[in-house]
Amino acid sequence: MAKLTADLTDPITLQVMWNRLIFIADQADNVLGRTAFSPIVRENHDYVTVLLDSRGQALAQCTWSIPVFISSLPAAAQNHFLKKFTPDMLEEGDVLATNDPEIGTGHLPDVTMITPIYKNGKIIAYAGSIAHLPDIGGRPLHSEANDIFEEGIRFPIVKLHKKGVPNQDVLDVIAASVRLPIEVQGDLDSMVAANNVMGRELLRFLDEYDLDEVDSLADVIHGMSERQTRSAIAKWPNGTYTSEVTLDGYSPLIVLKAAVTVEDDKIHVDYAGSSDQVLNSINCRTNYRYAHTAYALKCLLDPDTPNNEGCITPFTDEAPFGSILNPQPWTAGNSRNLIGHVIPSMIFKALENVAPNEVIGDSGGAPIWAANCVGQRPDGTQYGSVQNFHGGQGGRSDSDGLDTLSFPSNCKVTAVEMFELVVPVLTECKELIPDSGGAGKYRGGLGQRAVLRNLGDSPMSIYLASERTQIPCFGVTGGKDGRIGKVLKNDEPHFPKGKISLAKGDYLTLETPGGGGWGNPVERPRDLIAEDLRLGLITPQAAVDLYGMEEEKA
Amino acid sequence: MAKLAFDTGGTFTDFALLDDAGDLHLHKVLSTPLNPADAVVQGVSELLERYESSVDRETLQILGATTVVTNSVLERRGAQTALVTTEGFQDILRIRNEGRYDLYDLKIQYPEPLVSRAETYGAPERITAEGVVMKALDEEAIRDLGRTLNETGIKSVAVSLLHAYKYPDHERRVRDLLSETAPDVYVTISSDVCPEVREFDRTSTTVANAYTRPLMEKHVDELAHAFCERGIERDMLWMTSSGGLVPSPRAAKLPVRLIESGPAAGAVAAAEFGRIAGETSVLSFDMGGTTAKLCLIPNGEPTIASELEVAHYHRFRKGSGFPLKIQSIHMIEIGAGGGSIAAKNPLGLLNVGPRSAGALPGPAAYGRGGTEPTVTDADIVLGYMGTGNFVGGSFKVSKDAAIAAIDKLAAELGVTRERCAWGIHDLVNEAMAKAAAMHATDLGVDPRALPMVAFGGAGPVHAYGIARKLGINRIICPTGAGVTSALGLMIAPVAVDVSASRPMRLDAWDSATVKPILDDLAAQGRDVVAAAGVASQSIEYRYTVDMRHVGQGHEISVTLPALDLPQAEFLAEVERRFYAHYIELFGRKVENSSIEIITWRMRASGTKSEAQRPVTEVVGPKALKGHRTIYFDSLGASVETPIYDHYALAVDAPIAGPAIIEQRESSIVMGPEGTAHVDAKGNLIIDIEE
Repeated sequence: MAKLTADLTDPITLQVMWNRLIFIADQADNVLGRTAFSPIVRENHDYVTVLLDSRGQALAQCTWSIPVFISSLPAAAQNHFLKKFTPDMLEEGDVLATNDPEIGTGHLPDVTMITPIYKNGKIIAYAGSIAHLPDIGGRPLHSEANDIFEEGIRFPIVKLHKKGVPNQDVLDVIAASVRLPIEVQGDLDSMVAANNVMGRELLRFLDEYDLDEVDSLADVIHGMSERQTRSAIAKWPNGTYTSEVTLDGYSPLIVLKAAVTVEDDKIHVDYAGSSDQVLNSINCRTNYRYAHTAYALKCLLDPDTPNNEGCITPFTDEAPFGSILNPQPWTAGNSRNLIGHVIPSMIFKALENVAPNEVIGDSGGAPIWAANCVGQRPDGTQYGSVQNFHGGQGGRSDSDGLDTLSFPSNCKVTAVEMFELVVPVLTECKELIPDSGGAGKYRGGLGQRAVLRNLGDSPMSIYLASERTQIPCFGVTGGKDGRIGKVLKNDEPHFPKGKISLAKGDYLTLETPGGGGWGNPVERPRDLIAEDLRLGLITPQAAVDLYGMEEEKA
Repeated sequence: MAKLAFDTGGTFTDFALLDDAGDLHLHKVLSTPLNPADAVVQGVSELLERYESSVDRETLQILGATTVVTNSVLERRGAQTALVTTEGFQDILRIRNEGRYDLYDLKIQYPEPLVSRAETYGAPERITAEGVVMKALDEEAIRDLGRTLNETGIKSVAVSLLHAYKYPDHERRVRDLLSETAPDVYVTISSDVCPEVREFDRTSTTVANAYTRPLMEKHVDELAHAFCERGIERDMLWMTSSGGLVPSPRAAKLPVRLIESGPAAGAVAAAEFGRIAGETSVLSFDMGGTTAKLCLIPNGEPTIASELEVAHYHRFRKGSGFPLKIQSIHMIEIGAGGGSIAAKNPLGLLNVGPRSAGALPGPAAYGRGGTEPTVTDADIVLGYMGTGNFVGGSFKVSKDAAIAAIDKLAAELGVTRERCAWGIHDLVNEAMAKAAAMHATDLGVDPRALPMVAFGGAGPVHAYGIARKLGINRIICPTGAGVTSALGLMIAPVAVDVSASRPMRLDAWDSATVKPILDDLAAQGRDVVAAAGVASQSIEYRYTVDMRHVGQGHEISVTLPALDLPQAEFLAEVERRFYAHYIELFGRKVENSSIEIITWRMRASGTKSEAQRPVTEVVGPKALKGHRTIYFDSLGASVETPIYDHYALAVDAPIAGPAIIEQRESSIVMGPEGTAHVDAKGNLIIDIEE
């Protein structure tokens, strides 16, 4: 094949080369996702593959991802991996990995892995991946842990492979510390394989273009992306815009506060005033918090440019040390998403007058509700599997929020039939809750009601993660609140987090929150109200009370 | 025995007739979208008149590929349909799987479900995963429902109850009760359409079937009636998405299985053209006005996937459409074709698509109101497509209009006209090459090793550039590139795919359970294939299973060894095949982990036919038609390039690149690194030197 010319000033060549880099990350994503044992990897897409330049800056990321990964891998590489293991300490075939929450993504199950890519004996780039392992040891019910040591095993940045040979000592320690050693080993192997795919394909790409390095290409991509973000910010008026949200937490309530400062072509978010860190595992570390800050701003300012280092450079944030958004290192943080998932909604609320057509109402899918059903089969073996449930998306400036949508995460739920094959549970219904979407010119999406009944002879423990059962999702630009979530056991209200025991025949009712509305409900087009009535998504009473419909028409 | 094939497309309905003397004739008429049967009847009548003496109508077999099913979904022209689910699950079509197909786009939408919430009804009943009836079916409630359907003017109803993939009793009873109380309503039950686990996908498939069934049934009836009047006695056969032909009654009852009818026929043809050219494995590339399809054909046969997606809200964005659990030829569709629009994006770079000018207004060169530059306009500016020979010269196009559209974009980007046009052509090629590489990686194949079979209006124009990007060194351009799908129908075997989800671990194998599953699949398949006139001794049965490691979520397909092997040997061979395929796909083996089967599948088929060379295209004396100035990137300049007539080229005479070889509906581009010749069957073969 003839060599191609890598003219980085040519808009066409650059687009072709850029697309190719993303494709390389996507190929690795394909290998990782399809061979993973971890249900959370394949169903929730809780993993990422990223190509980094020789400085550890993100060059290209796989297309499908979730918000936490927008910044976590390059930050880990630049601040930790490349500092601990400088190029002179590495050899071809080495693989570095850690699950330290301070380095990676804020909780132990996520392993961050980086593989140097060599050309002519020199490191020219890194292949990186993060995946949520099926188990990491520690207490089975992570959210009741009171410090990080209860949450599982922690290994610092180590050479998982040395010159292509697995570091068996480390792997043996990991295997001995987890409940599912074969699956954990399998998923670590998947990550190694995914990184290798990126290395192989990047070298092929460099060969085709007759290049020996990627940093100059990275500079061009980063520069363009950064300019794009900065010019979008420059269209917003300078100023500081604030919002706050109150969450159930465990008890007491948790308050989060945001002050979003737009200054020329950069944005800083200060979370001062947010609640202090707590004993339970909902503390949200800096890397997780920043990812959700950057995610929310990218959605508003430049949703189209494929993510890379330059897209998020103009965003910074901070939170007081010791607060729930910047906790001390020993704190528990496994279920950090219960707090962190709400950050985007809070930023949207702060900016409702700055970017009214871009922001959306608060979403009932923030955070994910998860029910981990655990128990014993008649033959004495254990079963255990997680089912997820989402509330409605917030209303949008041009349309209603979607019903039951994973946001800001992006998690598909397991089919009821598949779930019932592995867990002796009967899902008695999974249906939309009329009137649960917050009223608005465009209303919030609907939440759902699901009923889970224990069919087994022995008790079932459901470890439940839920939120927004006390204070509803808020609307924006004049939109109204959605309906709060509810958790009931045998029709009686139940504490919505932690272990819930179901004896044979007992049932748990989960009602996820509805999304907040967008805009004044009185401005809602009449034909949309009529269609909602026809479909039973709102009741005639709501049409009259919330939308000002004449009684005889409703 | 004569065969007549028709392929109803968006613009043209294509025909191929193999007469009793073994001669192949091609034909084409304009499609009649309001009633697609009109164009079919017109074309068939014209061919029968023209070749009256060489066709015995009593034994003539008519074969069809159709867009009726796919268009009624895309254009929402299906019947007014209702859905019956297990009570408590009426919102299944709105709840979907709760995921998003784009991370950053806050304004994503999904297509409006084919059945609304107001027309969805809950059946009081419940069966568990183990088959225990938790709640008996309330028969009176179903009878009431039947009466309600009558009153509301519903024409078709889909019934999809939980765990019916394995325990269909309640579904069947609902069908019988509705048929009693609402005899004019078509009833489709999920256990008939796709008895596979995962309720959203199965329901989505069942609904699509119910929605399209009245239209397809009417279409089939109308054609049967019209052919009968013309003295044709045999039942028609129809192309399914999986590349096999089925008899009319099955096509009418399970139309959702015909949703990729035409593209499947194209892939079958590509496999055959590859075989004729002496190649076992090929990459099929079919590019038209709005989309392109790529299909990897290893060992002479397309691979079969067990799901696909249609009616994407966001053009060709995976996850934004209706999932369908049907057997279909594994191909990937790229939302780029001749009509894709090129524009400058916010970063100042060139983008091609996803917007398309479609057939109307079409490319700027068509002069039907389009002013934005499209891929076709770029191809015309580069000289790859002549303006005098569009659809055999019957269609007028303007090079000036193409130039004007490209110049405007070139000025915005600050590049020359040629650079801009080449950029558009090259970006599309890049998208195709990327998709091909992804598709190949999916199947664990290195695309560079495969020759490419290129057809469709734009396929041969772009094949050369794509092949160069992928490192492919041979391109096969079949004769009759515009009617390839119709030719595929002539070749395809009668075949039917059936399946059943019955999870089973290999280390807990129970032959007493397995045997009835396989026997039942065989019986279902045999009935359909025999009904199409295949003698029972020539029916071939092939069993495959979807397998994975226990605990994984993604299954891979494995062909079962001979069923009469001793059990230990049989299981060892299944395991060996699973691991071999797993390593092929993912490059490594997982140790110490059990493996399991999720779904059992069987294909029963008759035999394939061979392709014939069309006799309508006579080899003429004047192959060289003239010269044009044409741009080639590897030369960095436009050069005087010879233009040949494909059908006038002598067999085996070499042509050196660069050259353009024109067909009636397409144009084959060959760069300076290529050498071409026509083979004995009339196909043009390009070999690329590096």
